[in-house]
Amino acid sequence: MHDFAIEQMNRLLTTLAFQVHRAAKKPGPDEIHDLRVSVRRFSQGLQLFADFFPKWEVKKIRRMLKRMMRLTSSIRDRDITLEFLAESEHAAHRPRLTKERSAYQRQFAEMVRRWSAHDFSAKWRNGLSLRGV
Amino acid sequence: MKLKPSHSAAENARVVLPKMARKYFEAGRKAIEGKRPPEELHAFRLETKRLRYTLEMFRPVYGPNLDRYLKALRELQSALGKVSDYQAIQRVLSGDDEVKKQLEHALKGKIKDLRQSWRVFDSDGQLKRWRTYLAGDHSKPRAKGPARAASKKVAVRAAS
Repeated sequence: MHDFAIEQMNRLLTTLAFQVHRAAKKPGPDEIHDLRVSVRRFSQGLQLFADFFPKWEVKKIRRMLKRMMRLTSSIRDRDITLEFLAESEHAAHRPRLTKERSAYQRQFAEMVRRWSAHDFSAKWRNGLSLRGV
Repeated sequence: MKLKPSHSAAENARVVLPKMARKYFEAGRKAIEGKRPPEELHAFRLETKRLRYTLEMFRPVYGPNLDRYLKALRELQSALGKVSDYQAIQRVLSGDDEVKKQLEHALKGKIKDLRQSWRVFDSDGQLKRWRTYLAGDHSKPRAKGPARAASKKVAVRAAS
């Protein structure tokens, strides 16, 4: 079971790291959405296989993921609303929402910069002892 | 949900996933039937994702037959997602009375669609089919058997 958990978590972390870099390069609606999906998948893996990994490490990673989800949720809500406004031809709120989105996008860029500076995927792989299977 | 390190992934899946499915159906019945606060629907949407992602992690154990179950979940998730989108738009545009009515009307329609999707998903015998399938041993391919027969009858809206 332990090997299975490691194999799954390795796969999920590889996808998450890919989506983080993809969204950092181009933080468009699709990229943010895909990143959120990969965060959720990885979080679910952490929760499911929590007993196989160090508690402190799991807690630390989940806290970081939660922050990422909260921030990208603000971006995602604006993307959904902007799409709705474009379809329904309401123009009034677009400038405000675009401005708000840009502000959240800057916060996102800063968060990703910090994650990358710490080489988060290598750190998490080490912390969870995912190497060697 | 407790996985046992001494058991194989397949053994763990056969014990844990049927329980997870039962809890999921119970949560869905509670969240979708009757007038519930939006937060409850949101929580159930997250539960749907959790179940889907967990099943996907165990896909190597169950093989391609699991895809029928995943398809049913994806369809339900899509209906839940549409409700959630309109709730998000309502939050973001909370000060606009002109758009408010339009959103309320659209949201009612999406909730109606969601209830219809749920009725298909939770139609007669579905929970039993899910539990039988997830508790079955899928390590050897079988021509016939309860789990295989059950997998053919999973409620998918398009097929109903």
